[in-house]
Amino acid sequence: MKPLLDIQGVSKAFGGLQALRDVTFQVGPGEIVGLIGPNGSGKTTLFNVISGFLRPEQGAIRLGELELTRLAPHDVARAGVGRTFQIVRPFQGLTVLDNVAAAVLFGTGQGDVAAARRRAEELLAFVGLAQHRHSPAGQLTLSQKKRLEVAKALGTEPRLLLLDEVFAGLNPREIDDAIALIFRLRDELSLTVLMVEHVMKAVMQTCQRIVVLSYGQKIAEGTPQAIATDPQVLQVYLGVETGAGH
Amino acid sequence: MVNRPRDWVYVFGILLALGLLPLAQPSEYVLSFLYFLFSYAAMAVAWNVLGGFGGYLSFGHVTFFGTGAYVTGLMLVHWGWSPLITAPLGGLAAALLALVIGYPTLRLRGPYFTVVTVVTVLIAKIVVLNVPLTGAAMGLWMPFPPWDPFTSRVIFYEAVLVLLLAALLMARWVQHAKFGFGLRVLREDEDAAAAIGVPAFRLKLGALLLSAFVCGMVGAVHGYDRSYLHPDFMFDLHPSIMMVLMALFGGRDHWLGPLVGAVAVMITDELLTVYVGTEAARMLFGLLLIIVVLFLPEGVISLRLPKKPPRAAAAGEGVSSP
Repeated sequence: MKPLLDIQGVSKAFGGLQALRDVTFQVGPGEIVGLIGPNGSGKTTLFNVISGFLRPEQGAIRLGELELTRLAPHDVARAGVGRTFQIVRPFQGLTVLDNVAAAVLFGTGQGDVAAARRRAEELLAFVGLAQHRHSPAGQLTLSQKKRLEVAKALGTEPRLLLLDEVFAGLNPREIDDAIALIFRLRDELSLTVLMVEHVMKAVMQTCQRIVVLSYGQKIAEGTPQAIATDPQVLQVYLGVETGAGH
Repeated sequence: MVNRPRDWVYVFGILLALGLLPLAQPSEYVLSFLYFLFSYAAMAVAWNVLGGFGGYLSFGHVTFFGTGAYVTGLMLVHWGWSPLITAPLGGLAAALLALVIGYPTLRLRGPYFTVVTVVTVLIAKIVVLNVPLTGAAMGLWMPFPPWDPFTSRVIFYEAVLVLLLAALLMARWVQHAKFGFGLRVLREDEDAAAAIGVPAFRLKLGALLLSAFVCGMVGAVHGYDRSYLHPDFMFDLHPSIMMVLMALFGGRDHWLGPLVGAVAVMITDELLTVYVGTEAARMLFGLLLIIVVLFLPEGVISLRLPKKPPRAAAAGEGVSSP
């Protein structure tokens, strides 16, 4: 199967700090892949590299046949990569509806504001924010803002969705709702999802495959079950000595 | 999408009526006052496209005003072209300068950009003071307009009224178009805007060029009216600050805001200058700006506009009083 997202040997340093070191993995079309690792392991840096906010020193990133590596962030968005931010960033002064309409206008090349608002209404219904569409985005609760982030990303008609900690700060009930939403992204919108996540329950339930980063390096990759019992992963996360001798 | 139809019908109706005002033989004082009001309003409305919608505060727009005036003046002096041709060329020259200034500086964000805009005024002034072509410190004398004083006032009055109308139509279009969406979104958060595909740099540059063009045209008309240009007047920071003040005072989020602000500021300024003195007027403006920024961040126009326009607009209800 040809991968949708192909990350080849990506390295990124901030001064003396090697944030990413030769990271390679692929995400196939329709897959939901989790990206986990301790704080500072380079997850968000990798997201920023994929979405064009940071330039890698080495390596290449392709979306299908398209080389993303040198594109500006807004061109990556138009090329089909939607992303959410770890710290939610709604456009506070705009209504919820216009937040998403802006994404439709600029992410898809749509020029008609009224049509973009209609499309935005559909997307807000999809993520369950329809009744809040005329509220200023700043007034939403955290879990609503996270849904708005997803709707904004969807507005650009992405092929690949990068979700950065959409579960963080949610209560158990909201986490269940968000898990259901992610499955619907794949099943109803045929999206491919790469998600950075700390909430293990969510990762284990939603992801078919998990990539583990530690100190900027990929240390493991596999199914949730395999990752949960991987000695290296356990050591990184829990500091467990595994007898195998580390 | 029709937005609050009554508002613009009122506004453009009033402006058209003002266009007929000279028929009533008003005093030259009235015409002259309104001439300044319209000039400032046109520039503030145009300034607001970048500074208000886009949130990129420029204190350098007087540079474009002065450029329009000087380019027009030089063409009148050396080539004797009709002002009808030289004024738009003055606007274009200002837009061209905006391109040169904006291309590197609009990559800067927020306060850094603002600082650079202030510096451009100082540089422009020094350049003009030292280039013999522009008359340098002697100033530039232009051919006098060939009309009697009253006709002359009427013509310049109508000219800036047309510019104001054009600026308002432009700002109104921007506000409701995709362009305006992009500007507002990048004002809120430039990274998040990039993440949804907003080409921030291009939009900012477009907004700067449009506003520079209008300021250049106003400068062209103003220069021809005065018949004498000097760097101290044409590249003075004060008009730049006034544009910002008017836009913020009136309300930066709406195309009408800067017009409301211009009316309020100009009338206050006139009254204070006549009855109290110029220095007092300037001090009071500073105070006024602080009060507005603190307590009415969306400007005085937010007192009248409903908080949530989309629904009302879609239903065609217009502005409802609370």
